[in-house]
Amino acid sequence: MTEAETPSLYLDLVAPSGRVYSGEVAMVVLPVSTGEVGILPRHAPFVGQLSIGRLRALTVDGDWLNFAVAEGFVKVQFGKVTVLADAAERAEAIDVERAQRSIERALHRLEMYHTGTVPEDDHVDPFREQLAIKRARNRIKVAGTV
Amino acid sequence: MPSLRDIRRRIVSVQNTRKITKAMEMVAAARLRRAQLRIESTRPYALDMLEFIGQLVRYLQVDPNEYPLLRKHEEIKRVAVIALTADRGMCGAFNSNIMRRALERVDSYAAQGIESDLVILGRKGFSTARFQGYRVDKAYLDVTEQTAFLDAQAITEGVIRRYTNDIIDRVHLVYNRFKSPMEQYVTDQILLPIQEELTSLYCPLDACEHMDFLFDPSPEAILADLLPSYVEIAVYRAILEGMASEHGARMTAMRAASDAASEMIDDLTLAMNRVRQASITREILEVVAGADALSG
Repeated sequence: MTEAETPSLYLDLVAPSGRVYSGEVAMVVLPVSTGEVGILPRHAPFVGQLSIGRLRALTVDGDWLNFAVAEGFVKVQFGKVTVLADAAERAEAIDVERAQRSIERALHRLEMYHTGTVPEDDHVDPFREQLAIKRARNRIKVAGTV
Repeated sequence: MPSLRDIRRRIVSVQNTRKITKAMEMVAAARLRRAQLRIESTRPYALDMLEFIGQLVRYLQVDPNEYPLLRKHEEIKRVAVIALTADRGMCGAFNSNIMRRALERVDSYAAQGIESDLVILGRKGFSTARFQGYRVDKAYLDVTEQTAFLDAQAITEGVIRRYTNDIIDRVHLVYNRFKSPMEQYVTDQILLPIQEELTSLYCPLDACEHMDFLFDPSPEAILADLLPSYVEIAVYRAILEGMASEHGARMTAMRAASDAASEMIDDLTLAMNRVRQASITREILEVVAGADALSG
């Protein structure tokens, strides 16, 4: 196939558990450490750090796709946006109840940590638990935007 | 000679055992397929990440000494050995092969006067090490496919922290590479420092020539963040490969057990027929002898 007349943009969203989305899009809006970055076709090569938040992609049909993403990395090169996220989920596929449960679990573990009642064979890292809460809250938030 | 009843009873018992081993074989086969799919689905992430790191390393003309995870420690005083085993047995020599390799490594360091921190994933490895009198620093038990990534993160975080703080000077990862369900292939790989050839190898030419990137934050900060993620994904993959190998090993072991049971049933059936035949022959002989005595 020859070069298309309108430059295209390709989104590849991958997580360790597998490829979450792969396809042609018109625009991608990503959460990065300094805010949101919008990527359009012909964007300059870019490398950034993805932060917990909502990733939006405008499909060529004009629909917005929403994804909840956790920390990771973004690369834009040759009209392709590669997103490596620790976790990524389509907004429609988010299990709000499960997210709610993981918040509760993390809160419970934090409480154990603060009251010094962590079992002998367990270890609580408050930073990790905070992160888990942040991720779960983000998932709930993104699920609500559908 | 055992009686007919005894032999029958044994046949039934072996048949029951065969039912169990057959079921376990089928379960293992199903799990193996799932585990293989899992490994398959981590591939895009792992490859993209390798390419990413390869590009950055080349872009930055990295001096390994500037990154704690790339820096080699000159003097080795203490190491960590991570062994990835299974929670359950009935899978042939799977667990013992891994533990033998890991403990050999610990012993060979001990012979040089170097202490090892033993980190173990899986109940089987944990109990083996404890039974043989090794000190286990950290054990991760009851790992499932769903929690594998979290465990990989926890393991990685621990060794990275200790490596960065100069508490340990090298990290070994001993696990079973997955090649095929039949093949068991225990590997002992150095996880930290990150082996340079791994990072500099993979960079497609065209991707490496157009690296006029905009960075947010700085490329150094991104690379510093990518490296731990890379170690994480390496451990995660190793755990998944270990799981797939475990199921493969169990499938093979259970198939062998089922075959052995079938063979035993055949042997017992033969013995049973012999006993039955013998008793029939004896009865006929008695009848004939009796008739002869009467007519004689």
